[in-house]
Amino acid sequence: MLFTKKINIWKYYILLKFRILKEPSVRTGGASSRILDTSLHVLFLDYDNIVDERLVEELRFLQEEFELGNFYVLQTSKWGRHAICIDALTFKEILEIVRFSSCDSLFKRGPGINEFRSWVLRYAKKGNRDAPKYLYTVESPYEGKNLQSLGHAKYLLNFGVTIYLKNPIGTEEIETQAYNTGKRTEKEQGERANE
Amino acid sequence: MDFLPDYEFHDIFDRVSKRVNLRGANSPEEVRRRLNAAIHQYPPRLSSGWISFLKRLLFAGFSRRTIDEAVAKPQGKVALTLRYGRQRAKDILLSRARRRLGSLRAQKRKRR
Repeated sequence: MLFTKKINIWKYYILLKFRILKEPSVRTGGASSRILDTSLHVLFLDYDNIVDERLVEELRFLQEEFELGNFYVLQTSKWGRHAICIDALTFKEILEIVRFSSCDSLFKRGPGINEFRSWVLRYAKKGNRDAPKYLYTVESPYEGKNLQSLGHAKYLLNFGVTIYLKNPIGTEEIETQAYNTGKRTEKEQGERANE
Repeated sequence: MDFLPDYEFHDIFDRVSKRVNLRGANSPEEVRRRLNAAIHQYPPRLSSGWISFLKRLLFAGFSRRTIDEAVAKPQGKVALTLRYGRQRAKDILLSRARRRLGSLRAQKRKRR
């Protein structure tokens, strides 16, 4: 909740901003986009409140535009989706793709906020909300063109996705992050999206 | 979150990172088990309630060494005893040891 007050004194404006933040009370965990021991990242996209037709169109467009491999789409809530592409790209390239996409605006600024300088997607339960579930794959003609992260391919096995890599890089390790988060229900999230 | 200074952000979200080795995990259940175990391995940060509780003990004349031990090892024997009492702390420690070591019963070999 944000409260702003403007006071005009002589020829100066004094802006007072108060923000009330609900204490993040739930501990959860997510996977980092970084490939360990490198500065390469895989592409993580977080979409809130999106229909699948629109999402698939966008992902296909991104695949064509940036010559990316397959996208693996996970369901986080009724209208929430995560899209993961395990192509290993530089931070600059990933940042450009994330900014180009229409994913969640806060997620776009993720590495600026996160002290580990990476994008994080949740894999664990969050309060009453279940862990993400695998939905479908958006296949690409460019699959295997870029280097592919071995650790993240193994991570996707968590969701029952088996990937045969053509161009693997890295080890079978991934970086995970545990963090506190808000205990927002699906209903609250829907209301926020409609505002 | 631009409105939050860095030091506040770190305190609120308490983000910690860990490497998880997925080598040899060839089923979704095993991968899930290793990933979920990684979340719970992080040492919990001392909550403000816990700190104020320890301060109260200190001002009431409680042994300084015990409190230092509880702060240094928040999941240790002393901290658990202060928090839950002797019996429950013992149960927690035993169950933890059981998880770590597995069953101590000798397993019978199958006869061929």
